[in-house]
Amino acid sequence: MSTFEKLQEIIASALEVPASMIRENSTMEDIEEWDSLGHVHIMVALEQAFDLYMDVDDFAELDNVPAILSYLAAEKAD
Amino acid sequence: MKISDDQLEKLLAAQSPQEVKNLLVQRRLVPSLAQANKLRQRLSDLQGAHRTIRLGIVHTYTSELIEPWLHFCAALNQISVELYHAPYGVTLQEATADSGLAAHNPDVTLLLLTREDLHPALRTASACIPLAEKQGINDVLRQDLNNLVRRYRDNLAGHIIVTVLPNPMPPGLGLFDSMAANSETHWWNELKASLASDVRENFNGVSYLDMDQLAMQVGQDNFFDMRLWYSSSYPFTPDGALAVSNSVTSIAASLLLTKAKVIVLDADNTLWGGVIGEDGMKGIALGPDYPGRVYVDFQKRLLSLQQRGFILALCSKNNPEDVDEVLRAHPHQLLKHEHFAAQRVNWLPKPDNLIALAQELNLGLDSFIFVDDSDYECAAVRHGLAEVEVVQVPSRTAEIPTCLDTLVRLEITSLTKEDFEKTAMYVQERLRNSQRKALTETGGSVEDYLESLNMKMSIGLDDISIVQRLAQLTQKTNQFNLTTRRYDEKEIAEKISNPDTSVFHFSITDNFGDSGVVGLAIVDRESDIAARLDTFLMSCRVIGRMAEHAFLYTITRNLQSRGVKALSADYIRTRKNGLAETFLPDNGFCQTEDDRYVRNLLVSVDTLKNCFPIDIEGP
Repeated sequence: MSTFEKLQEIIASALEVPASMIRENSTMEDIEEWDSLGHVHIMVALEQAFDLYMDVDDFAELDNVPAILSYLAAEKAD
Repeated sequence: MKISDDQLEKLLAAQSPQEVKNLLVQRRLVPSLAQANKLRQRLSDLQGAHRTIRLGIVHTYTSELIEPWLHFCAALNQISVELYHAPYGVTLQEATADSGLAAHNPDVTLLLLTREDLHPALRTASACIPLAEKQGINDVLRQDLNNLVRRYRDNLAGHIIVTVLPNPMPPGLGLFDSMAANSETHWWNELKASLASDVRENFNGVSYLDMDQLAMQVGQDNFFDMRLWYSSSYPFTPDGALAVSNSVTSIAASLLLTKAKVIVLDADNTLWGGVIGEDGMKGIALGPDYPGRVYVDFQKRLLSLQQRGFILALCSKNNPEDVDEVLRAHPHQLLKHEHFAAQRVNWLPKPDNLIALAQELNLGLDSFIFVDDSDYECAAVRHGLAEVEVVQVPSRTAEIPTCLDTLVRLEITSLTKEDFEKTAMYVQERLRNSQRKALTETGGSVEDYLESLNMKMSIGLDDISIVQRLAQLTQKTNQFNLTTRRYDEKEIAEKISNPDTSVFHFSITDNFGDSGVVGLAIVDRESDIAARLDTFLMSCRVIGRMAEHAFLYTITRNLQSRGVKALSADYIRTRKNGLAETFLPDNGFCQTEDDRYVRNLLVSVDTLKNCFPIDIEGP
């Protein structure tokens, strides 16, 4: 499973929407359920799925799929 | 512990919510958000029609993020929740009859408060507050919380849960704190004890949920997420959210599910390790070493459950004399004969024994919890008696002592005097039955037996001091109950204060002991001359002593003296109250065309007086 596919599942589950709604270029603005509460759910689910302990100051910038993917890539590289 | 993909598959294959819950708790597994959502889906499929609880949340910190965990735990506890979150930080305004909360008509209202909400002084560092000022702060704080809960209680039906967020910081004086005269921890613990007892003594249908205890179980550092607390005013990690959600939904479920009353225990490999018939007194595992200490702890746990008001019964395939020897003479056996309300130690099939126990105890099988280590026995009971809840003793020994802790039907929200004494009551009943047997075998009649008991009935009216017990009677009584109307404590309290409604109760003593409050009748005055019997019930533990006739007789006398000329009543048939079917016609009620019953109180009822050998004291 690619990182994107895994991410797609995580976001969909956190927002309780179908996985097909989450695309490689989706942003918080595109998806109604991705509101400020939904965003915290996504961040918590990301931490659980990828074994991360994130800085809360990074949360705001991770409001779209490409940003999350590059964040994950950077974390992996560390 | 994280849940692996393999473990998740296993959880998804479980056959009941209770099985999933046990696996999670016993194996210390914590699902991720995605796993919780998946499991919840599976649990709702398993469960079919969930019973729904309307839950209203009033909060002074962000509560919305707890939602997925609440829904997940609700499914684990075999209910579903319909949620309403009050606007953020609004506490007093929601405590009105026309608030959004009241419109949601909640079955359960959860008040999520912080220490700072209770008193402004708690916003500062506790160590800075002089010891001398703390008493004054305590008094104001207790009064304020009382006033707040009072406003909710007066304006809302249903159950209320009050809980205060623990301090996420370690105590101000650090490692020395517990030794300090000005200790923050001691101050809060004493204050909390006062708050909880205020809630118990001043309100009906209100629980104080001790969130400190939850944080301790989870571990303070795993309970709080300070990042989310500072950035979103949301305090919980997923572990913390799970603990809070599980407690809240357990209380809600315990209010809704059929009440458990009896825990039926196997003996071999349940109360002790090994088989008494083969291993003998010296060979069974029970005592200070491993694995015997596990069973000692389990027995301790069972004694605590008895203190919650559940009765214990024994059901074992063994020679009676072998089990008797352990109960009487084993130095580490905590459960003795007097702790068991009834016993079946024989070689009969266990389902047959359970049916016999239900008859002896006069309780429905749906109030039974059956605990046994054997696959065969558990399957036989599951298959033969679907209404009995079966708990299989865990195969891992260390999990045995807490194996009943996940059952919400063993949670209680109040504790009455009668609960403490329940097993003693059943032991008394056994003695009564031996006396009856002895008398009838020597040619005496049932009347002689009743006469020999020297029964004295005490009848009371509109007594608010026992409102918990009265509500409990409407919740638990199924067999001798004419209408099976369930009322919570608040509803009973309203009826007691309503001048047009009379709430009668009785207790009865005899040579063997005091029954405690076991009967309840609610009478609505419909006009100057007419009244209606809304509720008439009696606990099964006094069935067969004519108490119901004496009770009704006294009530009708009381109504007559207040000018009532006609008393109407209903018999609402259920699956369980066949016992009460002929009670109304037997007591002079005539059936009307619309299938109700009415009794003319102008006709003298004094002729009935000699029917029961009971001295009555009452209104």
